[in-house]
Amino acid sequence: MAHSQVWKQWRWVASIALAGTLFASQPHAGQVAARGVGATSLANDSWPYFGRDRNNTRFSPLTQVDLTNVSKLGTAWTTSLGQFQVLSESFPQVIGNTMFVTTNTDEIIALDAVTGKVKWHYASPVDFSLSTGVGGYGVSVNRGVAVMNGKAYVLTFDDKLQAITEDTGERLWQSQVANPHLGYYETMAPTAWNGLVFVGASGSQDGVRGFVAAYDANTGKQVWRFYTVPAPGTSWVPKGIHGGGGVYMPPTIDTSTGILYFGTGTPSPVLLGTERQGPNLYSDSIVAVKASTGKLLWAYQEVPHDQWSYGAASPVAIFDSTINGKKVHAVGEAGKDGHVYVLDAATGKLLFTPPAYVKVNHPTPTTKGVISCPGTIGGSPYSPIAFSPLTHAAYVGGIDLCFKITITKSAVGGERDFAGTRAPVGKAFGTLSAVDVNSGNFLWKVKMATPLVGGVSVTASHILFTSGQNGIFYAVDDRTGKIVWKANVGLATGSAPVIYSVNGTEYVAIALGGSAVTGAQHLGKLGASVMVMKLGGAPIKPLSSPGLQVAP
Amino acid sequence: MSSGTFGPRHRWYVSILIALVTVVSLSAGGLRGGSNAHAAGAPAAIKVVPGWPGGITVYKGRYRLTNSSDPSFAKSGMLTVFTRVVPHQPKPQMSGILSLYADSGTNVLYLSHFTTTGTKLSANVTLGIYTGPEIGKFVVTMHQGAELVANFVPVLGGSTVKIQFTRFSKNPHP
Repeated sequence: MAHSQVWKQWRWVASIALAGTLFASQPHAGQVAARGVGATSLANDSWPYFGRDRNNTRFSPLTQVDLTNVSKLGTAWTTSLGQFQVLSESFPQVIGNTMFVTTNTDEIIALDAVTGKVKWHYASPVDFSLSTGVGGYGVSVNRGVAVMNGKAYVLTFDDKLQAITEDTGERLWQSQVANPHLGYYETMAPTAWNGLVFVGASGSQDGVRGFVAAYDANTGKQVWRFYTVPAPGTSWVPKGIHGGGGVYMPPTIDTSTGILYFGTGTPSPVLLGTERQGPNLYSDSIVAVKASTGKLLWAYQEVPHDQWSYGAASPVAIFDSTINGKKVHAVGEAGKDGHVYVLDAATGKLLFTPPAYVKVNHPTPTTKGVISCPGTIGGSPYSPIAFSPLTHAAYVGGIDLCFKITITKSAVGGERDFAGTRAPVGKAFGTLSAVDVNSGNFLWKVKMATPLVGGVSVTASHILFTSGQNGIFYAVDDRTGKIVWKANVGLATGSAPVIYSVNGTEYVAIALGGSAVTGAQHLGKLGASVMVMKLGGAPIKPLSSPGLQVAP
Repeated sequence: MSSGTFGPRHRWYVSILIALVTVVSLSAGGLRGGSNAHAAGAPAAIKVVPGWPGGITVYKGRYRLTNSSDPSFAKSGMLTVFTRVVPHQPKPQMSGILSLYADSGTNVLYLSHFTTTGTKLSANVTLGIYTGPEIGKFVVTMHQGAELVANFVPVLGGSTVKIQFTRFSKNPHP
């Protein structure tokens, strides 16, 4: 064979070899999928929004902690949120090496995400008693901040939206977003995007008229307001202090379409359906509005004419489903009524029959009382779902607890427009479920020894992290539901874990202390601390309550 | 009786004296060994009465914290006294929300189980929620017109904090 012919052959082989080398160097499909949802360098990966990404999926692309080494997680640091702080529904956010966490007294604490050292601490004189005018429903919690363009935004119990400097914790402005004398109170974290800050308000059980509003992020001036229910005395809303449809969790923005999604609460008078005819739109709904104007695009009502306090309270997540071979941009939410709803993000059309993640059986309430499952705290009182693009599953942590509901002719329970009494029946359990968003089928569903309140988070290494009311922190294989590791962290939980990395070290953080539901139903030990874990950290020691007696 | 002699009459007198001393001693010991209720100076049991004298009308409203003996506990604050419906209670119960602002941050304490024990007016103090961990007692030491002075007495020891309030509204929700 002539020299030129040999070289041509070797050149062909070399080309194939080079091509193969290039192909082999590309990340495999799983990693591509992970990168496709915003993966960044392992060295430094933040959790900059409520649900880590704009879609609220609570999916972390980090893989340093995986199923083979998760048992080596130990304590990196713990920080108490205050000597007299009890209850924590705060969902921490991490930007760079700063963690932002709120207290149930509406303070913001900026912590060094590596050491837990306090960088700055913001507190303002919030009036925590104004809502007592509607019966004394004065439990204050705060679910976090929104950070955008050097500002952190927080809502206070007395209905102020405040803008704080991200670096130093100094207040720039505040706006009164609702009137607390009417029964409104704030517990949610706001959402910030494109120069706007979006807020809702709590208080359905007090007869407030629910809304979502947008405020100018620089000036605090209101840009638009969308009411979720009609004004009292119009349409289905009775005259007087009635309405409902409160928005309890941060709205979710689809940055690709400019559509804002949120869930609305129960109509009022709560439980007493005879006083409000028809479906009671748009209570108990997933609602889509144009983010720039608040114009209604569509609404899907999960529970028409709600008589069980089954609001769509938990936040909406955005992801893609494949239905009958076609990709559908979708939104999903775990309703208080015990079902997972997955809808077409563009039209609000239901993509499949909502699966039940807890026991469901709710007869029409009567004056003699009925057993309703789930109870009025819901299968998910506000807990966000998580979505993994690797498994195409929506993960739900639930409360399996029935209530006896008895309706009355007028409010008796302390909340101004809650027309009935309710009491738990039997022992409370939890459920942890994985729902295939392409079919609505369960990939798996497990019973948990403890109610799960606050939500779940998942990672690209197939770990689902969550924490129970029994003070146990869980790592679960998100493909099977098998618990692969657990640790006694001591305190109940009212929020979901966050996973981040700084300088090449992956951290798993959880705000501990229990939720208002925990305290009201005596589900677990209360406190208020942040615990952060890392591989090779110190042995995890359970945190204790303030060490005080529990009032009978 | 001759001098220097301890005769029969003397022995009789001594016997009576010894008997008397014995009787008195036994009686005194019995008193000391008896129940406290029978001991001299022991107070009778004091009944704990729900609520404060005069009822909610006298105390309800909003108070501004005007002074605190411990600034780290509170430099300013607000107390709201009102009634709320409590599960399994036939009538609305006196309740309070105490917001405390200090350099270290904000704390919200919940007051419940208002009771009167003799002249002592007190309430339980809990954290987080009315049924949360009890951390102390709110004990009124002076109430005159719009002025109210109380001690926060921690349950597990620690210093008592004296706090003074002035009521600026009789309406819990102006």
